[in-house]
Amino acid sequence: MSDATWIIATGALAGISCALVGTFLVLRRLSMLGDAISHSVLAGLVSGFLLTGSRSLPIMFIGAIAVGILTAFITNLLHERGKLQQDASIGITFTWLFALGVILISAFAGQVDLDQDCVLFGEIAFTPLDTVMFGNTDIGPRAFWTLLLVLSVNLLTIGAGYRQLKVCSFDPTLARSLGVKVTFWHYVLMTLVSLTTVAAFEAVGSILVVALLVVPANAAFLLTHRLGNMLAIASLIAVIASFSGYHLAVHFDASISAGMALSAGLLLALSLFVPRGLRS
Amino acid sequence: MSIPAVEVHDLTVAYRQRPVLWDIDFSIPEGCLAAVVGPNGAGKSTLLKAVMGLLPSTSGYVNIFGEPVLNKRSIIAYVPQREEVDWDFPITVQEVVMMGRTGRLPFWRRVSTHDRNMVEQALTEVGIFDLKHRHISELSGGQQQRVFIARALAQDAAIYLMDEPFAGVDAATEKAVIELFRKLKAARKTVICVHHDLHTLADYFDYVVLVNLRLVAAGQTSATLTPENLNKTYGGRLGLLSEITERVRKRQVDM
Repeated sequence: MSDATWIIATGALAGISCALVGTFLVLRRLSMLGDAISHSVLAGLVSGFLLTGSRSLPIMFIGAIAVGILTAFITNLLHERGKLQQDASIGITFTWLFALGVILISAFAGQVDLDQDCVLFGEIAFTPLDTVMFGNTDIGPRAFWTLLLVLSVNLLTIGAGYRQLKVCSFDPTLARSLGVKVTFWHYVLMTLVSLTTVAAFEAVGSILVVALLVVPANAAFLLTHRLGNMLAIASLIAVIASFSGYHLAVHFDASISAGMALSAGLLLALSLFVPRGLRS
Repeated sequence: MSIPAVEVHDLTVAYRQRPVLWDIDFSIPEGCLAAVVGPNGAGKSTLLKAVMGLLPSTSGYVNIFGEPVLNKRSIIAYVPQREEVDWDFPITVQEVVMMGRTGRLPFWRRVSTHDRNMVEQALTEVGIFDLKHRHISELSGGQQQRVFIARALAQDAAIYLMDEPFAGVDAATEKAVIELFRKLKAARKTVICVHHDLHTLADYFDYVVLVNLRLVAAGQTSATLTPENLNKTYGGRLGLLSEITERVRKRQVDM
């Protein structure tokens, strides 16, 4: 496959993974918690590296999940116990953890192979340079395979917990009264968000990953009245955004991840003009 | 005496370390239509949620047919206030009602014919079968309330807890719902509602629980809905209290 195809495919995988978890975040009005986790996982990546000296995938994921869940937990603590507003709690938690991550990188800059620009903006254009060998064959970019793994985890988890996630999102009180473990499913979702953002991170950066979490899901929300359709349409929009974003960026010789986010935004703008009667 | 459907004993509920209900103590016999009545902020919704076991209690307990509520949740159906859910959520009427049956099923358990039949029956019972493929945002207030009630019916419970089922619904819906309640009563089901309209209280419900942070009184409507108790519940704050008191007095004279 050509570099362009690998880049578009990697972008599409990042987009679909984000769109799936993003749909549940949007419906539960937790979009900004996704934003928060996508930033605070940085601290998890760095501490994972500093503690083990390894930059392997399992260490990255474990670090990210730990800090992702910590973010959700501290946010909840500030809100419930500290009686602070939900949005304030989110803002306090993730900026603090993000700052911690930045300081850890700066303090141990010599030891950590993490570029701050790359963390913020990602560099999907370079993903074809970092490939995986399977035996003696080059099987493509590492980011592609990482995201494929994460997408599979997302699909399996959402598939297995679809009813529970649906009832927890629509009516947590009913869910609780039916005996569904609402808190458990909340943290399952937060785990998926952490996994997804850390995998999408390298490709699109910690700022634009927010666009992928929120924009396709919201565009899909405008286009359908069914949860299943919303997941499918959000994924489709993510794929279109990856494809058109790549070509947009190449045309203007600009950042590819920014091109993807811009395309996603334009698709959302188009969705606004679809009449309600045409919703599926 | 038979075991009461709901027995609340010495219940105190705190929200963020601040008690919102104190020393609530009452029981409701099986097969009755009961109303929880009190002014705004009296803790009526909190009481309903506590009966369902949705809120941690600081002291006391709730028994359902003589057993702790947490063992008996499957025979209780809860209908929240309409404002509590997002009516723009991408879901159809039929799916909401189906949630009452399958919301907790693991993914490997398929929806059975029995589940489908129960859902169709519930939709028919509340008169919204024709709307089953509609999106929930396309419904009127009364229709939304019917969806919730259908969901509770689909759960095939023994006890129905409803938070203001008559708030903001049209007259036709109110009539349909009260007829349904009477059918449930005839089938020995127990219905407990938070209710606001003192005018209809005595007509609709045969049991009342008067609360204002503490329990004021609980018992048969005829014996409990006295001017003294209403005064204690509302603390004279209610504008139309005198009118109600008058009605209650007349009623007592009639009886």
